[in-house]
Amino acid sequence: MRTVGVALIAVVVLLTASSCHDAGNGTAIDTFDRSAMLRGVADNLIIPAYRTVDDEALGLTQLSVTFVDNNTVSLFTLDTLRSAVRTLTLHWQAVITYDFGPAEGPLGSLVANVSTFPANAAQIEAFIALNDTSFQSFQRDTRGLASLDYLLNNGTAEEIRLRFDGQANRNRRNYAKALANAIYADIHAVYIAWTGPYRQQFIDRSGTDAGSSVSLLFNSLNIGFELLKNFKIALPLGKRAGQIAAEPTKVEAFYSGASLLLARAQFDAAVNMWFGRTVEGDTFASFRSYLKTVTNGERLIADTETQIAAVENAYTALGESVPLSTLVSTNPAAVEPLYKELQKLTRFWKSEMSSLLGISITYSSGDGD
Amino acid sequence: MAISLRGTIATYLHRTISPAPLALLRVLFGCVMTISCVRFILLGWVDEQYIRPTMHFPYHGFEWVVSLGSPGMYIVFGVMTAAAVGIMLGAWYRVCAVVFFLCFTYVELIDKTYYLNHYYFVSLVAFLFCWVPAHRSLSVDVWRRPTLGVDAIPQWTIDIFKLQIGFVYFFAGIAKITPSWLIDAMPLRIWLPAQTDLPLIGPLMTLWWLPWAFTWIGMIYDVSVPFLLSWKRTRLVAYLAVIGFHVVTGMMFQIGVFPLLMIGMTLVFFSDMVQPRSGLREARVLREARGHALALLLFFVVQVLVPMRYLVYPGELLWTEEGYRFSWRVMLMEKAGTSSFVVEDRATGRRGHVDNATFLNAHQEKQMSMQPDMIVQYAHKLHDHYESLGMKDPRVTAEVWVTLNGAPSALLVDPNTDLSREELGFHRYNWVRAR
Repeated sequence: MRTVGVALIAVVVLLTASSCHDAGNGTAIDTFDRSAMLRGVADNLIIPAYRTVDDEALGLTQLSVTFVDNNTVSLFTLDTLRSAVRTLTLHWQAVITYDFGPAEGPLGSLVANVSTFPANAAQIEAFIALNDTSFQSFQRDTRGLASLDYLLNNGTAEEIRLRFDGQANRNRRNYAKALANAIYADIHAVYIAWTGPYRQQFIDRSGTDAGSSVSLLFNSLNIGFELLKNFKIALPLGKRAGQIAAEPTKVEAFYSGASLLLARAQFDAAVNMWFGRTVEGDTFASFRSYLKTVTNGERLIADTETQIAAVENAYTALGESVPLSTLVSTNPAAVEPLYKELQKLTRFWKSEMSSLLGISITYSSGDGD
Repeated sequence: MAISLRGTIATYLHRTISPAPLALLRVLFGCVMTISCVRFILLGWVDEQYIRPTMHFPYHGFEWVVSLGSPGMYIVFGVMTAAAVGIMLGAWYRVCAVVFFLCFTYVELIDKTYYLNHYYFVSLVAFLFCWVPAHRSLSVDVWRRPTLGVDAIPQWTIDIFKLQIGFVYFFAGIAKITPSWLIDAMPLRIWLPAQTDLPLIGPLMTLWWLPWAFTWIGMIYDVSVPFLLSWKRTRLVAYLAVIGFHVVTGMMFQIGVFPLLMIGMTLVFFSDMVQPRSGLREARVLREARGHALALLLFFVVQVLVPMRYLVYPGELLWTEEGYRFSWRVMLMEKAGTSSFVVEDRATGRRGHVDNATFLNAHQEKQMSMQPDMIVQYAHKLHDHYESLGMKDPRVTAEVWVTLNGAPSALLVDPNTDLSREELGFHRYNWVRAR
């Protein structure tokens, strides 16, 4: 029996020794450099995405200064402001996939603070009447991009212009400016953190345990995806349990009617992360290339990409001419396939990818030992 | 034959041993449990796991065990920590041992989401500690009342711990004798390459043959280590292997205090190194404890039957998990699911999709999405919730896609079955699909 014990130890020692030897001459399976993946995602996607929205939010605050200071609001001023918000909201979709790390504040995540929808019009009007721009309440639906959408897009251009125009409407202009400032402050704090030490921290924490950057990135991809599927599509479509009808006003960006465009942009951003490619087409290692190096990874890549194509087709089939809020009440059957295809994609990203990559999602291990 | 067997048993029950090893085991157990309780509280898990969730997944037959909320759960953990300290110090030992066992087991029974084999192990060991005179040496109790001190205790009071630990390893070992573990090297083929960031051994984790080395050595280790620890000549080598094994798995997987617990508890196999001194007080201790031996025999019979119960269920154990828990099946599978529930108003026929995050925390959702009994419990919760909101007796169906050890996802339950009508129980769930 002693020999068994000795043999056991000998085997372990041999394994260790021979593996040290072998590591250098190519007997190892394909290795994947997770740090390089994290660096690629940070430098090519995350930081540029935050930089874009940071620039655009800053621009918006500058526009809103002149907006408030001048009593006369022209259609041109209004349009400039609207178009700045439209662009920001569109580019904002790219950061939803990265709502972790510095984006997780004590008062909720950046996505929750900046892009909760739908806007609470009655409460916003109440705050405007009181000239209350303190944003001290937990009513996130009175601030952020959805509130700007309400203020700037509710009605015809002339109606909106009149609501802002003149000394009497200073409160409303003030509220819009405060919204822009708050959005910029929130985004800027996260952007600054990413350009500071967090970037390196993110790259260095390259394990697969709970709390590692790979795990954060994976979780955030899925939380963003659930937001897209459950709130941007299923909620207005009336697909959620307990709903008794479609609820067109619950779309994102109800007043501008850009809901589908935004939902598509969010999806495209997530897909870019999957592929590891920038909007400009530069490519780098991401989840897809990571999967290529693991057992059964190629199969999952194929399944996932077939499904991504199905989602893209469902988007394309909807076109861009009719707003989502109209579609869900006039032709819900047309939107159904999009929800269905998104739903089918969930399992590939949510359970299969974490399983194949061995990513821990929660801190206390489920299986343990 | 019968007489000689009885004689052998009687002789065995009269065998005595120094009380020091059992006392030391008590100190180790109390110490690790104190660390474990304090760690659990400091990590915020009391709040996260037992206070914040809006629903729990109790075990079948223990539905009456409910969370006490806040501050109740904090009080339970406070009492549990105090009892662990009491065990460690041997102060008011009997009371502390019973209180610790009850508190710990109560907490484990609240929600099967957090089931871990080593929590079950702790419950069993705590139960065994209630029966033995572990405070008759090296304890505050003896210091307070010197008459409690003894020079010898029955040997079976320490052997039961060896037997319990032996069961854990042995059953864990035979559970590894499967094609998936030994031939496919799953799930280690998934887990090892994810560990390249480990200090020192990280770079080795991508060697193609390493998963097979780990699965085979792991199986041989688990099956043989109880015997190697029992035999004097191999004991030291086996214990070094215990340390090596638990240090490596502790580094690789997030398994908390478990490695520390096992490294500490297996020291019990060295108990015969301390020779008993003959003393006048031993006879009293013996008489007091002998009746317990029979009850404990029953306990160990159950310990053999429970891990084997899976044999009465048809189907693939890792897939259906019928007979999976309480069986020392550890690290055997990488399993994950995505579940989507639909509730349908029986009056209007209107169907709606459920956002699981509304009802479950991430850990609960993860566990529920691959375990049939939890799926039914969740379906019942959804039924009651939406009925209370005005739906008429909702039908609850689920599409649950599960991937096991890297295979493509398959449906775990029949997507047409009204799960709100299915009952929890020990019967075979015929709505669970084959893979």
